[in-house]
Parts: sequence; C-alpha cells; structure tokens
Amino acid sequence: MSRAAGVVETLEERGGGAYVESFDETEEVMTINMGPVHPSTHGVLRLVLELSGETVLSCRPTIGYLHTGMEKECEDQSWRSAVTIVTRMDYLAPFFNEQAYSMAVEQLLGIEVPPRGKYIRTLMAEMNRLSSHLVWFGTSGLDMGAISAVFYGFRERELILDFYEMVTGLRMNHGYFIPGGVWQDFPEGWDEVCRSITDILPGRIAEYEDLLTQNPIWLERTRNVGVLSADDVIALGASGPVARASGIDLDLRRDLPYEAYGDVSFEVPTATEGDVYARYRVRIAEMRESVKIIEQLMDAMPDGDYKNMDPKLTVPPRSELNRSMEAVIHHFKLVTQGYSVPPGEAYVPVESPRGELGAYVVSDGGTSPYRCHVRDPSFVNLQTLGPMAKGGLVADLIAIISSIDPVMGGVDR
Amino acid sequence: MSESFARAPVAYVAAGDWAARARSLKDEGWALSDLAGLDTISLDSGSERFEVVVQLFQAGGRQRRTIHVPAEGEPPSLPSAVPVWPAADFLEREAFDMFGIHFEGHPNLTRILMPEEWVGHPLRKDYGVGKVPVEFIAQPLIQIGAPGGDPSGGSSQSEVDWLGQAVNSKDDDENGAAEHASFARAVPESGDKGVNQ
Repeated sequence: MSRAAGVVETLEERGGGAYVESFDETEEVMTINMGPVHPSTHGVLRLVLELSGETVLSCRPTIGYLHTGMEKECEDQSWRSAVTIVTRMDYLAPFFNEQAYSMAVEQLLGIEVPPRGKYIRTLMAEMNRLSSHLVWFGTSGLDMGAISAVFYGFRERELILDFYEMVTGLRMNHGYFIPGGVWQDFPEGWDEVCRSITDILPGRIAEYEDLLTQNPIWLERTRNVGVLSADDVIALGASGPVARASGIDLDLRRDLPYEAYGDVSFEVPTATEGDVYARYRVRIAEMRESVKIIEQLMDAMPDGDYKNMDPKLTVPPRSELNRSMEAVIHHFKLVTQGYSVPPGEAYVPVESPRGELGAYVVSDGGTSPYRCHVRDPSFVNLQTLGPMAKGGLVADLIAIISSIDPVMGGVDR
Repeated sequence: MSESFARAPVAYVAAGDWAARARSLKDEGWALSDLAGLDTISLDSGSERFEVVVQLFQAGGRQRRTIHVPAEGEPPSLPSAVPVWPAADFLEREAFDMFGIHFEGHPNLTRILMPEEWVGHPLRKDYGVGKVPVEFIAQPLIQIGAPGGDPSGGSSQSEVDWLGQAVNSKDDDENGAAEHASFARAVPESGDKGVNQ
C-alpha cells in the first residue's frame, strides 16, 4: 500500500500467475512464464515463452506439477484395486482409463467380458466422451471470450454426471469398470434417464453451433490458427481429434473394434484444414456421433451377466455368503489377497476423447501389477503445442491450448 | 478377447542395432505410439535389467507391434529414437526420469515429471515407497521424539522413528530434523524450543 515513489511493483510481487523472468533490451526477446497457475492453461501447465513483441518465438511446456506417481502406486495395489488409481489419471475421461487398464488385464487373464458388460462399458465410455467434450466446449469458449459456452456446456454435462452418479454412485473417479466387466449392473430406470439425455442433446448441440460455428469473432480467433499438417501429426505422435482435424483418419473404435463398437454404426468425422476451427468442428461432430452410438447401444442392450462370473475373479454375491462355504473362501481370498494374473505383458489402446489412451501392463504372476504404464493422449499431444504456437500470437496460443484439450491429471499422472 | 486385440508380435532388438532398425521400421511405414521403460529385475528376463518397450502402429491403425530394446551398460543406455520419430521426445524423457535410462542422441534429455534436482528414479524397483522424506519442506512443523522434549516421554529417547529409520540424535537440530520429521504426525510439545520456532 505505502510504496515509496519511483519503486516499480513487478508482476511477481503482485502475485500474478505470469511474470516477467528476464528482459534483454538489446535483443528485444522477452522470456515469459505462462502458468503454472493460469486460467487458460487448463490445469497446472507452465509454458516458457520467448516473445518478440506479441509474436511467440518459442514455446516450451514444462509439466510435472500434478505428478503423484500413480504408475508406482498401481504396483502396490491388487489387480482389482489398481482401477481406482488409473481412473484418477485423466480425470475428465475416467472411464477410458479404466477401460484400457481392464482390457489389458483381461488380455493377460485370457477372459471374456459377457455381452451385457461390453455394452454397458461402451455406453458409459460414449457418455464420457460427451461429458469430456462438453467441458472442452465450455472451457475453450471461455478462453476465447464466448462466456456463455461454459454455462451451456456445464449445464448439459450435469445431466450426464447425474447419470454417472445413478449408475456408479460417483460423479467422477468411478472405479466402475473392473477386469471382467463392470462391478454392478445398471440400476432400475437407467434407460429412461439415458433416453432423456440422448433426446435433449442433439438440440443442445445445435444450440452450441448456433452460438459459435458462424460467429465472426469465433471464426476470426480460430481459423488458420495453430495449423498442424498431416505429416506433423504423424511425426509428433498426435492422435484423436487433433489428428483427425488434420486429415489423419485414425479412430481405434473403427480400426480395432473393441468392446461393442463392432455392433454399432457410426461415422468418424475428419477435417483437412488442421487449424483450431477444424478441431472444433471435429469435436462437435463427434458429439453427435456419440449420441447415435448411445441410442443404438440402448436399443440393443443384451440381458445376462454384466461381469465375468468366474468365482476366482469376482467376489460372490452377498446372499451367497450365508449359504455357501466356497463363497466364503472365495470372498476371503479375493478380499485379502486378490487374484493372480499369469506372467506376461499387454498393451491395449482405446480411443479416448483426446486420442489413443493405451495401458501397458506387465505381470510377474503375482497379485498386483508389476508395471502399469498409461500412454496418455494429452501427454503425447502436448508435444504439438510448441510447433503450433511458433510464429503465432500469444492470443492464438490460448486458442491452441484449448484446442489440444490437455488434461494435466493425465499428462503428469 | 476379440481377435482385433490378439497380442501384438513382440521382438527383441539389441541396443546397438536399435538406431538402424528404427529407421528401417519407419521406412516400412511404422509410426511410434508409445515408449515405456521397464525394470525387469525380478522378471527372469535373462537380459539386461532395464528395457525400453516400444509400441508401433502402421498407417490405418490396424497393424501393431511391440519391440523390446534392452538398455546396456552403466548407466543403462540405448540410442534415442527422436531423430526417427520426434514423438518419442516426451516419452523418452519420462523413461529417463523414471528409470534413469539414457537415450544417446536425445536433444534434451532432462527430467520431465520430477523436479530437476530430484535424486533417484522413482519407478525403479529398488526405489522404496514411503521411505523417502517429503521434499520442499522449509522447516519441520511437527516431530516425534524431539531432543530436549518431555523427559518422561519414552519416544524422545527412541533411536528409530516409526518408519524404522535410524534417527541420529546429533543431527536433530533445525537442519537435520527436516529430513526425519516429514512423516511425523505428533503435535509439538509446548516447551519444545528446538523445533517450534
């Protein structure tokens, strides 16, 4: 408050997220820290920027602020309970983490998921794609001054989170998929809730498009911004909407039809421009496709078991414990020790809202994972940020970050 | 499992051949999807302790394959794949950070997730969990068995803390205490001037 006259208060002293690190007046290149606590970096992402005026000369992402050693933690969990760790990695798409991990463990165990389990998992995954894209829609609108987008996006996301809560008991970090299926069946009345969501969403997605698709300010901010060529995409390992917006037609749901994706028909939206606007259009089109997939899955939802009922792999129903000695033994073994998995390794990729999410799981024959590595799409896609930002404006950088849609929980794990 | 997820073929490539093999794989149209370190110390793999596991896919995404490259020597090292597949940049830095595997020819092989001054490589199997003091603690807030504490308290004379780590009483000044106190959960005694500054 009572500063002496002539003393310049630096940004750092004011406690701002971005502050000037060094300034060489002769070269007129300024090095600036953006983040790690900055509203438009979507989490604790720190960018070291070299600027010449408003132009970005280089952009170096510095990550690790959210690193909590989840891959190491998995090695201390049983195969069943490691699901609760991996689900916390990409926290906007928890079902995909669980799906990739569970499918890798199923591959090592050599077990099948019953059809109803596959359909439930696919339906929840597509719901998750919608809820994740809705967060992307809201936050990227917010980043570029379209404040209404965040209210619309989060309003519809709330409907989906209520459905999650109804099914899994939780709004995020569900731990719902387990090796062998899902841990409990859909509750009574799930189809009405699900139907109400798929009835509402197409109209709401049209509303979003009314808001932004032809909006001149939006076009000005996103067109020809952060252009990534198809060659760059392959070289930098990008996947998901970032790759598909640059004309790389890769989608694991169609290319390696896992779970129930072989039974549904859907389009894979692509674009060729490779700019922020193309990524916007691809994601909006993906949301429409997800609604279609969910409708098909609801209509064809099979009856039967929702998980692999092998008593060596899944705890018996509570009612069995009062009647069956074997059930008590199995329950005791599974709860105290867990099951063991034959030695080997498995890498299973799934198509998450951000791209290829792969789980590389190694077993030494014991009751906990020997190694559980997750190839997170945000982590790899973040490598495209530097090349895309180079030569653009700082304001474009904001648009580029939100078009990659990184989730730092997945990046840092 | 469905047929599409039949296990990808696994191949071993020696570290010396890796640079040339990666280049020829790229010419055949293979792109890099994932690269992860692996500590095989208790896996009876019969080869080097550290391996790098590379997942590749071919355009179209249907064909996949896995390649193991053992890292040889001390420190364990192998040629970097960044000149061939720039996508390996972050992934190799992560393997270096977590396992201490050196990638020769990587343009910027620095820690990526852990702080730069971190000692050790957390995903190695001999890196203990729960035995490492929490870093970045400016001064001990709370401590078990502080010197000069309540003489009636048995714990103040204890030679080991609750993790079983030996506590050297000479080091238990303001500096040394920081190393031991991070896991402690006891509330400091009111008369404890040595800790409660």
